[in-house]
Amino acid sequence: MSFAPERGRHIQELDDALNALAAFDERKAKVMELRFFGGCSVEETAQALGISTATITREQRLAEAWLHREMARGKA
Amino acid sequence: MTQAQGWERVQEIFHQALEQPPEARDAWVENACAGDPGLHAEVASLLESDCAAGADFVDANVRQAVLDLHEEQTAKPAMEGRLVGHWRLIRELGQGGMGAVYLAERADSQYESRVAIKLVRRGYDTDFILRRFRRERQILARLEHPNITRMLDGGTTDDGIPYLVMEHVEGLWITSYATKHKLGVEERIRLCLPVCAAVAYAHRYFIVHRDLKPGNILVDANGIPKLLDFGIAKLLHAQQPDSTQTQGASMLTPDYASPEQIRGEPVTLVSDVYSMGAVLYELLTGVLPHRIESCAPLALERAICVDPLVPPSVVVSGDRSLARRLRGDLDNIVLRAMQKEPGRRYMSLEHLAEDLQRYLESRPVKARPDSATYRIDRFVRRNRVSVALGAAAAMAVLAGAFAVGHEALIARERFQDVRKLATTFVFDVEDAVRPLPGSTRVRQLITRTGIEYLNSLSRSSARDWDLKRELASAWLRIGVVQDGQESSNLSDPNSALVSFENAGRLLDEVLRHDPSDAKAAFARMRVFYETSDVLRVSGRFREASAAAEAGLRLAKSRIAADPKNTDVVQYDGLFHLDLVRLRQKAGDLNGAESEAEAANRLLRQAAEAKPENRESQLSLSDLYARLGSIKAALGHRDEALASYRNGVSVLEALCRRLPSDTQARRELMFAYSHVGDTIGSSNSTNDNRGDLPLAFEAYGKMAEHAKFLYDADQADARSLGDYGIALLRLGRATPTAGPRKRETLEHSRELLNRAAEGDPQNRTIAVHKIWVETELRDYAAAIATGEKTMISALDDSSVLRMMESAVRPLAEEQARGGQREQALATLDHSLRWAKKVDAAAPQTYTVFVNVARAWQTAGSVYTILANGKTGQRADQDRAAARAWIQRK
Repeated sequence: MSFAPERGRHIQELDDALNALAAFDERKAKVMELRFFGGCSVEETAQALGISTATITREQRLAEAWLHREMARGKA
Repeated sequence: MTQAQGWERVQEIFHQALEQPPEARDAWVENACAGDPGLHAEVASLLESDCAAGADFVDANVRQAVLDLHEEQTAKPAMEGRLVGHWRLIRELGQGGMGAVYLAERADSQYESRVAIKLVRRGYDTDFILRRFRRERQILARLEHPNITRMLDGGTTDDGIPYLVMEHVEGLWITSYATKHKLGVEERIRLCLPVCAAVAYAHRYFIVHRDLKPGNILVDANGIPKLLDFGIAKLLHAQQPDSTQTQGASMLTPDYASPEQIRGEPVTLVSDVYSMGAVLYELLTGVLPHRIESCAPLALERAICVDPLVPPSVVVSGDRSLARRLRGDLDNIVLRAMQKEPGRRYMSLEHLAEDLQRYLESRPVKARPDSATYRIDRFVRRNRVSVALGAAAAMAVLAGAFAVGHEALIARERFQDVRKLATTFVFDVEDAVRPLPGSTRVRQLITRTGIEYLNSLSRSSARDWDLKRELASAWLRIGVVQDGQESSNLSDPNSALVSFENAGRLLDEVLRHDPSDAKAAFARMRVFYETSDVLRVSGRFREASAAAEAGLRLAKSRIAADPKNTDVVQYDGLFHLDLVRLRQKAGDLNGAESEAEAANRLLRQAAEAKPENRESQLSLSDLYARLGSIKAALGHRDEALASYRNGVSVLEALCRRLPSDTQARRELMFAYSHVGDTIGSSNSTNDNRGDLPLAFEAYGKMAEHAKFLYDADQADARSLGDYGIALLRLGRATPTAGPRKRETLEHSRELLNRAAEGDPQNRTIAVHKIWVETELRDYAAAIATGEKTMISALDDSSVLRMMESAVRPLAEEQARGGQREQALATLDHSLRWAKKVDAAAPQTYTVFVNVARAWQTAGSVYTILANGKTGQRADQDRAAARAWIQRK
């Protein structure tokens, strides 16, 4: 399933999913916020949170998978 | 299972699974999760989503959301043909933040008239929008200006949607109009002037347009520009608080919005000045002022709030003749209007319009290249590394300043970063450049830049006491730099005092908030101390005393609260020491003595508590030196000597511990000098102890330390002179005349000659040069040096006295040898200068004594001349001798 270029608004769902993620893993939510709402690069995000860029990349990957699944479930 | 349970384990397996080759992954996960079906399901579904999500799925979603919003705003619902009040909608003219504007005509066709109707879009009729709509209506109702579209009517449709009926302007956007008619630079400027006037008119009613942009400035067929859409205009003194400002900010057009609007900060009249500048920018260059490359909020803010604006002439550099037109005045005008800091823009649209008018009339415009930029440019050339740091700090400050929504958390973290950076800037960078010769001006700039950052931070957090303390330390630091005592070539005591005042005010605030704040109290004491110091050096003794006394009161109250705090005890002592100096200056010896006794007790206590602390040892030795001189002046020789000796032992210990501490060693050298002087110099008056061997020993020590300092740094003019002076004292105290004594004195003379060559204005060196020449019986040289020095030393009778000590033996010798003319000529040197000093110098006891010495010498010389022969000449000389002797 793809959410990206299809017509419609997923921003609200994304926001809800981020909030749900933040409830039990705040750091991942923060990473996503900084990366995609704040327009920060991986390096800037790492700097802002005081963790390594490798960690940022890992956190982001899992967070994306989780958010994607969460949004898909919401759809279903 | 809930997410929190086993989440760590899920993550671990998820990441490990991604490292497995795709074909082996499922089996690997199954194995890893063996016996835990819940865990397996969780990881498997996440891995599935990982595959499905694609690399940029979140990014794509955010981007899509922005696009959606845009599309939604531009989507055209079928409104044409509908009736609104008496009007029929013909077609859509444009979109606003909350509705659309339609061309409409009278439905009853009573008369031919076309209007523009602004209609809130269905679904947008929230309270917020409706309130705005009503406000626009109120605002428009107030405004009547030939360059502002008139409101004709307003109402609510049958299904409850509010609308406004406005004068319809058949025209083009101001930019399109200019392009279409191929307007020249001057015509474009002329087109802006009525717009400025219209906005200025609205400003007089405290209405800020807030959304000036080409789309809101239409030019009709007659070439008359009209301002429209006060949709997000704001009444500055509105009755109800505007809690929806951020929402308003998100509706405006970013290309023309001011930094403060982007940041969601309070909007003022000069926000419109900025936007008008942006319109002018586009009109003159055909290019948007900012390069906004991304929809991400932070990227937007960077472009508008941080990135420097490219001057119009640079943007059009492809078109050389246009670039030439824009370069200079027009660049300056646009850049001034578009300053990021509201306070640096034109104060009003009238001012902007006036400057444009001046340009059109070829009169000099008020806008000048940003002087800060100019200064910084200068600074950059001299100090690249520090500037790189400064730029980083500036970036960070601005980045930290905008806090909206999601960015609030970054902003908070950045705020801390900035603060650290600014503090680093003031303290560490400043420390780094301080030892560099001639670095004082750079240091001032550095500190000032840092302070600007800190100031901007303190404005945004008025109750941050830590920050106030930091800011105060920064002011203190810059004050010390301005005071310039560390490198005397750039002393600016008045600025230093202002900086100290700033520091004091901030600390007073902190202390009012929390009187027990020890750090602030300590810093406040330091400020009092430095203030008093500057005032004393500037000769403002009364104010200096007041500062020292205020510091003393603070120190006493802190000691009462915390008697064991030796830092405070030390300050207490230092304030007393300060008062010692001031009382001495005021000639109040008894007052100085009692202050010195108090300082003695406190500084000794502090020095004993902190034997490792260099400063406390130095302060104590300074006190011993002063106490010694006060005791000596009061005639208490034994006590004076004891005090000087105390100083010696403190400094000996310090120099043993810190052998390369030149300041400590120099103090030690002086301490030995004082001991030697007190024990007995050979041109003694009756009241010293005259113990030459002991004095010789002390001067030997003095010379030893002077030599150490001189050997350590032969290029240092001060150590050269010091060594010469020490050898002079040693030579004079050398008990038996002989080659050793002479050698010492010759060496001294050689050093002092070199010192005098290097620094002809130095009076201390000059006096000692006369002295050593006299000691070596080279009276002619001594007198010559004396006369040269006297020219600029009429206020200083000690030079006269020194010269006198060369004149007297020479004139007497000549008189005894019967060389009458030579003797009188020699005598004339001192008499001539004595008369001048008598007339010029203040009438103090010392001056009187030193002048009288000259008369005495004259008496003595005439007596010798009279005794050497008989006759009329002898009688005359005898009479002259009597006259001179009686004169004193």
